[in-house]
Amino acid sequence: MSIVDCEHHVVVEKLDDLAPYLSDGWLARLSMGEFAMPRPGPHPGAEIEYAPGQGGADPAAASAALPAELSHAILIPSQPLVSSGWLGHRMASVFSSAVNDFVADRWLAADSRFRFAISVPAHDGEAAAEEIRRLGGHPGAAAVCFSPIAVNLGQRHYHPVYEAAVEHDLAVIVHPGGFEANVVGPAALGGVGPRTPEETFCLLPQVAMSSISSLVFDGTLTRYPQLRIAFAGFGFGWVPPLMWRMDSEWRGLRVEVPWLTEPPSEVISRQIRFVVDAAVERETGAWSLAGMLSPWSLIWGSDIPFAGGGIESLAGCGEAARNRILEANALDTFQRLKVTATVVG
Amino acid sequence: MNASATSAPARHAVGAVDEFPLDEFRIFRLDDRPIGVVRTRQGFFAVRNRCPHQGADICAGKVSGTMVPSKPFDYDYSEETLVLACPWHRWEFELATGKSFGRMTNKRLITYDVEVEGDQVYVAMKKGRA
Repeated sequence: MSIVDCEHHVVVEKLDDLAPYLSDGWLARLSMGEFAMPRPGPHPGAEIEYAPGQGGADPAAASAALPAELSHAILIPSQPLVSSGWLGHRMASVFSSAVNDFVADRWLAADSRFRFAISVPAHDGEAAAEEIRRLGGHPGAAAVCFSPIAVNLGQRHYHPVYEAAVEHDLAVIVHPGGFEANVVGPAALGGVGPRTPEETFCLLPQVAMSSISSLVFDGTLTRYPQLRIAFAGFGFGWVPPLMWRMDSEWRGLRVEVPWLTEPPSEVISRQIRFVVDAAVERETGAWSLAGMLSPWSLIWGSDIPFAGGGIESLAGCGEAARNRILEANALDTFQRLKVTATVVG
Repeated sequence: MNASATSAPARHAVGAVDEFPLDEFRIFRLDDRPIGVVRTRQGFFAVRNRCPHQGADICAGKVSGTMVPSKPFDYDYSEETLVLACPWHRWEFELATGKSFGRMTNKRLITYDVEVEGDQVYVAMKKGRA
C-alpha cells in the first residue's frame, strides 16, 4: 500500500527566490517600502512549530525525507495562505502567482512524487479563477488552495473559483491563513481571541463550520456536484455534531432551502474531506468520532515542516480505515493524482 | 357532530360542507381514532391527527402549498402541492398521499378517503386500518 500526503507545506525563504517569477515592476514594488516576506507558518505563534532548515524550504532535503512508501505529496505553500489578511488584494494575487511558479519550477523537479496545490487569494474570485486556468493544465497541479476570508465559502464570490477548479479536475483545499479573528477581511471567530496559539487551534473549527454550512445551505455543493473541498488544519472531531445538527434543522426548515433535496450530512459526506494532520485530535477517542463520518471523509497530511510530520497522527485508527485515509480517499479526492504525470521541472 | 359508530360502518357523516372553513381542520373521533377533516381549494382531505414523527396533534398545523425543489435561490412555490406542516417540527406531509414531502421520513401520515354527497361530508374508514 502507498501513502498520499495531502498537506506538505512549502516555505519560500526570501524574496530574492521569487525574483525570477515577478515582473521588474512588482519586484521593485515588493523590494521597497515595508513589504516583508510573510512568516512561514500561517498560524499565530507558528514560530514555535517551525524552525528554518527543517525541510520546508529545501526541495532536495524534503525529497530525501519522504517515506519510501509515499506515492504523492501535495505541496501547499504556507505563505500565500497568510495573504488572506492583506488589504492589498492585487499584491496577494501577484505574490501567490510568483510562489506558484517558484514551486512548479524549483520543487517539482526535485522529486517525481511532488504535486502542487495552486495557491490563489480568496479576495478576488475572478483573479483566482484566472490563476487556476493559467496553471490548471500543468501536469504537476493536483489541487487549488486558499485560506478563508470573511465571505463564507458558499457565496457567489467563489463561483468562478469552483468553476475553474472543476473544469480542471482540481479539488480545493481550504487551510487557515493565520488572520482568522482579525477585524477586517478574514473570517471571524466568535466572541474571543485568539490570544494564544492553543486558543486559535481550539476555535478554528468555527471558521470551517460557517463555511460548510454556507456551502451546503447556499446550494453551492449542489450547484457544483463534482466539486471536492478538503479542509486542512481544522481537525475533524467537530464534524459529526455539525452534521447531526444540520440534518436536524434541515428537516424542519427545508422550505427555506428547497434546492437541498437530501440531508446535509449526505452532501458533506460526498463532497467535503478533512485532512488528518498534525493539528488534529490524537486521542484514541477521536477515532470513535471518525466512525461517525463517512468512510471517505478523511485524508492524511503530514503538515511538514510543522509539528509532527509522520503518520503517528493515525495511531489508534483501525487498519481498514487507516489504509483508506492514507491512500484510497486521497486518490478519490484528488482525481489528478490518478493521472501518471511526467513533470519536467 | 360525532358520528362514532357501533357496528363498524364503512363511513361516517361528519357534517355539511359549509361547516368546514377553508384550510382549517375540524377534529372528530371516528371508530375511536382522532381524525382531522379539512376543506381546501383542492377538495376535502381527512388524516389521522397524529404526526408520524413524534405524535403531535398535526392537524393544528398549517395547510398550504410548499416550496418544491429548485436551483439555488430560484424559489419555486407550488400551490398544487398541498401539504400539512406539523406544528412541532414543521415536517410537511402531502395531504393527498400522507407522504413526507422532501423525504424527511419514510413514515406516512395516515389518510382517509372523503366523500361528499349533496352537501354532506363523509369519511370512509379503511378496512383493517380504521
